[in-house]
Amino acid sequence: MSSEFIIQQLISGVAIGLAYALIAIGYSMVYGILKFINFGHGAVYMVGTYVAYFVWRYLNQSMAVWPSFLLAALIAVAGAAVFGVVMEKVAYKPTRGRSRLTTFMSSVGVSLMVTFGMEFLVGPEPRPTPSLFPGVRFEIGGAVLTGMQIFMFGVALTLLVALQWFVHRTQAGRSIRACSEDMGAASLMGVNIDNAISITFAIGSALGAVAGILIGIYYSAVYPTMGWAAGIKGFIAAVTGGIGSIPGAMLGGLLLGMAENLGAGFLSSGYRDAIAFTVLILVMLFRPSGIFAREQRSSL
Amino acid sequence: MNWFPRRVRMLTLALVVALLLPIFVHSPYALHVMVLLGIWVVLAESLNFVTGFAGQLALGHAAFVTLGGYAGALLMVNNGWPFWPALLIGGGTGFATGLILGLMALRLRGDYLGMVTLGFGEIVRLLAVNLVDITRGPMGVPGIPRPVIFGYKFHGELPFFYLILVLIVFTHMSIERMLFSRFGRACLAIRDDEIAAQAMGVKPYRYKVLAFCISSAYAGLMGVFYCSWATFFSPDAFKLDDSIMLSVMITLGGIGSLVGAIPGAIGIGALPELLRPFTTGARVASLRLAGVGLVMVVFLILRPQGIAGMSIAKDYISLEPLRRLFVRGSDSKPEKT
Repeated sequence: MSSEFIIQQLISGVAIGLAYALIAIGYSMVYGILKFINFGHGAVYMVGTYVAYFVWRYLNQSMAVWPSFLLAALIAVAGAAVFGVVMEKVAYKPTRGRSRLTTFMSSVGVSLMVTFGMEFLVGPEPRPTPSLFPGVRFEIGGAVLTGMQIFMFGVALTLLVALQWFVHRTQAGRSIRACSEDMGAASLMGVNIDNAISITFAIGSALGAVAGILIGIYYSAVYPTMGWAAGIKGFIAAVTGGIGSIPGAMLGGLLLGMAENLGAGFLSSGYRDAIAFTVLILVMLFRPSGIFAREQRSSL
Repeated sequence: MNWFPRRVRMLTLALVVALLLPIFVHSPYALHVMVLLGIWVVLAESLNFVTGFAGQLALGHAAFVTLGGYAGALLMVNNGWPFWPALLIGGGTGFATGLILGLMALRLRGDYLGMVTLGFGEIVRLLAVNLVDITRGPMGVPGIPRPVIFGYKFHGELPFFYLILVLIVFTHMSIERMLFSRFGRACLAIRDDEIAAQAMGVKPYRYKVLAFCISSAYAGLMGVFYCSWATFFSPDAFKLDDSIMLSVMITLGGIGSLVGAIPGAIGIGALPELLRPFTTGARVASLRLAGVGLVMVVFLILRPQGIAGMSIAKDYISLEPLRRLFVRGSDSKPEKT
């Protein structure tokens, strides 16, 4: 294998990995606060992408590509945030205080309902998306870097830094951290737990929608079951980096993206998802608290 | 002691009705659906063994059906094996692969175990699709022979209907026997309180792995039954949706209720047939899955103990530990991080 080939795979891996990191945030933050895996996150990702797709296609009839894209993305991200909050209020809040397996199964139900409800409405076939950077590409030492990849680096890194600032420097962020530390104590200190949980779901879902839009345009395909694989990979990224940590989600996403692309390049692209699941099993076997976690948890 | 308790009466009645059903139902389509429902019942009961009684959430049951199915199908097609030894090999394959995954995954708990078993299921499916030299990939294995018993070659749906009834009775009785054995009691103890069980000298890891292997063995067995019945097997025969559907069946039936898995499996399994008059083609599948998701969320919010909580299983396995698992579970304490 030539070095150009490896560099090429790494570039694609970093681009897609940063998008996984955005999805991972949704799992990580929700796990941090409610201690359950929100299986419905992939469905939110898919709904956000579809909203963006339909609004974009509608606006594009009368507007230029970029303004219509930005407007559509904004509407979709806001829509996904609302959707995430509603999902929590309707399906998860009533199960609060029971076993977290009940909440997990409820989130599996939400995921089925939303994914296949969408498939019923719009049909299962993938729809191609318009391109944002037609023909923009740079050559670096034989490898090609596309405009879309640079755009993905930029958006994802900006959002991850902004989120880190939000969680550590604002009042709302502090209340979220307090709740993930100890919900009872936070409540006694006057933190409104329901609000903190809603904000968590809103942020996670909004970032999930951003990732969906980026990945949808990157692969030029939007389809109802896109949330399955992407959601599970976001979860793998979150676990690999150590669930509950934002920098961990980013490193986990990068690692997963690169592993997946190198593996797909060396073996066969049919094994792309299998490599991601192998990463999951290996991480769970050897470092269940995440590769980048400082301390080892005794049990999950 | 009642020598003929209510639960046995109910099940015997159900079995007699099922045995007589082919006298009244002649359409091959109806029989076909009934065989399919029978497959769901066996799979749901076996998944209930590991999830309901040993308390381990597994979302990869379909993978063991695929593994067993391929083992049986390839032996019958390539090596000319008859059905019956292939059936045993299918069960053995389920057990062996269950052992490998169980040894790795059962150190994890709760939803993490669910995600890892789900990932394993996808790995199996992707291998079946991509290892074209062995499995013929997405084209599937055609021309799988049907069972022959004492010179009689299975023909049509009817013999398969009776065979699946035999398999259901076998599954139900063997699981019931195991539940009342030392092994079953140990599993229930682990589910209710792992630390207390450990204090009583039960080794949780060992029993969890064993329960997982046994449950997978039934799945492998059903893979061989299915492939011989359909005379065709492909990676898409049993996949992720089916694993999730099975956990919906046992959740609705009542997690940890041996009898509850039966109405759960029949109800959810029959859903596509019930929806067929309203819509057509691929949309049936989408609508079914969406509907199942909705029912599941509603059930988990309103009635986490499942259908069985209200009627037939009242005097069966005590519902109290189950309620503690799923309502105010022994693992509902916030975990130390």
